[in-house]
Amino acid sequence: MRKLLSIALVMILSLSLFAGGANESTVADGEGTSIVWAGWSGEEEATRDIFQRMRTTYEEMSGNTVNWVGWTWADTAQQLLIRLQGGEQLDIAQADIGIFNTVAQTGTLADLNEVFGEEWLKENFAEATLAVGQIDGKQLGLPWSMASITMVYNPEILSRAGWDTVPTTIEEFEACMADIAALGEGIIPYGVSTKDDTAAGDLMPWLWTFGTSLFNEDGTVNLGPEAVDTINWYKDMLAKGYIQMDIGRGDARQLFAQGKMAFYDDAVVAKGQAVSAGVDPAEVVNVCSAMPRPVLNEGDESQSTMWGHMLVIFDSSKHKDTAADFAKFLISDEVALEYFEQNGMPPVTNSAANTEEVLNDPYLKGFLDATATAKLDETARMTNASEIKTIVVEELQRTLLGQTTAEECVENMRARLSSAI
Amino acid sequence: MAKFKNNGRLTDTQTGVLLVIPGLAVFIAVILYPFISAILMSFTDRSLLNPNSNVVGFENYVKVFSDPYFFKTVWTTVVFVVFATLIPFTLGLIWAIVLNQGFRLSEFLRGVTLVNWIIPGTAIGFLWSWIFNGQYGILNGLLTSMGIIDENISFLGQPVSALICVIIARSWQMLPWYMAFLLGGLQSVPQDRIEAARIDGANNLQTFRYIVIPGMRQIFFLVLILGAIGNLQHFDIPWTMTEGGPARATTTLSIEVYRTAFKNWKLGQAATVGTVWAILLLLFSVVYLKQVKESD
Repeated sequence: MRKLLSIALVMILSLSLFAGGANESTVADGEGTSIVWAGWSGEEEATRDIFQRMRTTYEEMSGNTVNWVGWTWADTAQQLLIRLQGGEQLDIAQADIGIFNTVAQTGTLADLNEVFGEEWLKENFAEATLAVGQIDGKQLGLPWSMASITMVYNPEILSRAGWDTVPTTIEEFEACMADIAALGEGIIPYGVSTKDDTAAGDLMPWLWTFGTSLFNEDGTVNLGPEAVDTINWYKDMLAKGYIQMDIGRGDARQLFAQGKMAFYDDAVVAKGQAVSAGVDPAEVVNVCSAMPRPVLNEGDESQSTMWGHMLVIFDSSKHKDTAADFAKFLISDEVALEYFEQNGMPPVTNSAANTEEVLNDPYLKGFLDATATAKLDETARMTNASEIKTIVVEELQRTLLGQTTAEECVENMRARLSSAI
Repeated sequence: MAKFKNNGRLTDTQTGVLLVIPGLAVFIAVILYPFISAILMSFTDRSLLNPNSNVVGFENYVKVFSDPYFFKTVWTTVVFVVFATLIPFTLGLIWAIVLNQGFRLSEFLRGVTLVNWIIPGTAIGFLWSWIFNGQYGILNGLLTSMGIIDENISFLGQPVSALICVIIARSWQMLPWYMAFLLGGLQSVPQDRIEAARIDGANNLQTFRYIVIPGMRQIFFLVLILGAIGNLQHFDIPWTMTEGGPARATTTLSIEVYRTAFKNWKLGQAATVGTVWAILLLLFSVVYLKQVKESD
C-alpha cells in the first residue's frame, strides 16, 4: 500500500510539473476584443505614463482590451522573433527603423495596404513618409513618428564656454570642445557612443561627414581612405579627453540630463529624458537643443540619420481589424499631439504634422531641419544589422584602446564585413 | 516481461523502476531532448528569422573554428573560470575558518554573508557596474575624494580592468557559496584528531596543513569542480556589466552563444558554439562524477 501511495504521489507531482508549464491563453472578455500590443516605450520611464494613458483611453472608448507586452529597446527585436516563432499571440507592435526590416524579413507582417486600404493611407500620409514603411512594394509599417538622429547640445554649457552659436565645422567643433574641457567643471564635451550597438550608429554619420561610408550602393564594403581619417579623428578626441570609453546612449542621456555633457547624438526622444529629469517641457530647448552635425569643409551638407517609430500589424493576428482600429487611434491628432507635447515625438499624419504647434515648435525645428537631408542607417535594410554593428563596434573599440592602428581597424572591419554580408 | 512475486505485489526492483520513470520522463523532456536537439541544430542553418532550416553538415563548425576571435573567447572563458573560482574559494576558506572559531557573532555573520548569494546575478551586475562606472561610479568618487586620482578611471572601458571587475563581482556573489560548503567541511574534520595533534605540539599552521587539509581534500575537490562548472555556465554578471566588451575582452562562451543566437539570429551557429561549450563542461562533469563515485 505504501509503495502504491509513493508511486501515485510521484506521478501526481510529475504531472503537476507539466501542468504548470501550460500556456495561458488570451481570452476575449465577452464583449470587446482582446489584442496584444508589443514594444519598448511602455517600459521606459519617460514614456511609461503616456503609453498607459493611450491604452486605457482606447479601452474606455472602444470596449476592447489592449494587453501590453514590453521589453527594453535593445531586446525588442529578439523578443518579437522568439514569440513569432513560438506562435504566441501578437497583434500590433512598435518597431523602429533599425529593427523594422529584421522583423519584416520573417514574413509575418501584414500588408497595411490591405488592412487600411491604399486610399486611406495616401490621404493621411505624405508619400515620402509612407515609403519608409515599404519593403518590396508592400506597406509593412505604418509611420507613427519620424525625424532624425542628429546632435543635441546644452546651450547653457556652450554659453559658459563662450559659444553663443553652435560650431558648424569640425575645426570649430574641436575648438568648442577644447573650451568646454577648459571650463574644468568635469563636463564631458562630446558623448559619442563608444560601447554597444549605438557606437556603430554614431560612427556612420561621421564616416559620411568625412566622405565615405560602410557600404557602397551595390552592397559591397566601401570604407574608403576617409574611414582611416575618421577613426584617427576619434582617437585624437579620445586622447584629448573630449570623448570617453564606456559611453553608450543611456549613459549619454543621463549625463546630459545632469548637465555633465555638452554634446551627444540623439533623436527627439531626448526631450522625454529631460522632462523626466524635471525640466518643464516648454523650457527644454534651453538645456537641450538640436543642431546640424558639423561638416568637414564649409558648404558641405550636414549629415544625420533617419529615425522613426512605426506600427506593424501581424499577419497571423485574428484581430487585425481591432489592431488597425487601435493604430488609427494612436495616430489620431489628439493622441499624437499629446505624445508630441509630452515627449517631443513628431506626428507624421498630414493633419497633425501641419498644425501650428508642431510647425512652430522650437525644440522640434532642429530635428526637422536635419531630417531634410537624413539618410537611413546603412544597416537598416540588412537582416544581420546587429552582427554588422557588432563588427564595427569591436574594431572601433580595439583601435580606441590602442590594440590596433586606424589603418588596421579599417582593414579588419573591411575583411569581417565582407564575409558577413 | 517482469513477473509479479509476493502474490501479485510489486517487488522492490519493480517499485524502484516505476518510481524512476517520472523522473526519467522529466529528464528526457527537459534536458536530454533539448540537448540532442541542439546538437542536431548545430548541423543546420536554423535562424530566428525563418522557422525552416537546411542541413549544412560541418559548415558551422568550420566557421566557428576558423574565426580567430573564437579562441580568444575560449581563452577569456578559461581566465574567467580559473580566477572566478580560485578567488572566492580562497576567501571563502579564510572566512569559513574565521566563522568556525565559534565566537559570539559567528552565526549572525554566517547569515549575513549568505545575502550576497541570494541576490539575483543581474542585480549584482548592475550594482557592481555602478560601483565601477567610469563617469559617476562610487569607486571613482571614493578615490577622487581621497586624493588618489585626479581623473576618473574607466574601469569597464579597458580590457584588462573590465575582466578584473567582472571577476570581482562574480567572486563577491559566490563567496558565501564556497564559505557554506567549506564551513561544513571544516566542521566534519574529527575534533579528536585536531586535539591529538595539539597535544603532540602542533601549532595552528601545522594542524591546518597536516590534519585539516587532508581531512577536507574531497570537499575541496568537489567544491572547486562544481564552482568551475558554475562559472563555465555563468552569463548574467558579465552580460549586465559589459555585454562582453570592450572589444570582446569579457566575452565568454555563454555570451558568445547568446550573441550569436539572439543578436545575430544564427541559431545553428549558436548551437555549434554551445556544443563545444557542452564538451568543455562534460570534461569537468566527468571528473566530478568520478570523484563522487570514489568518495562513495
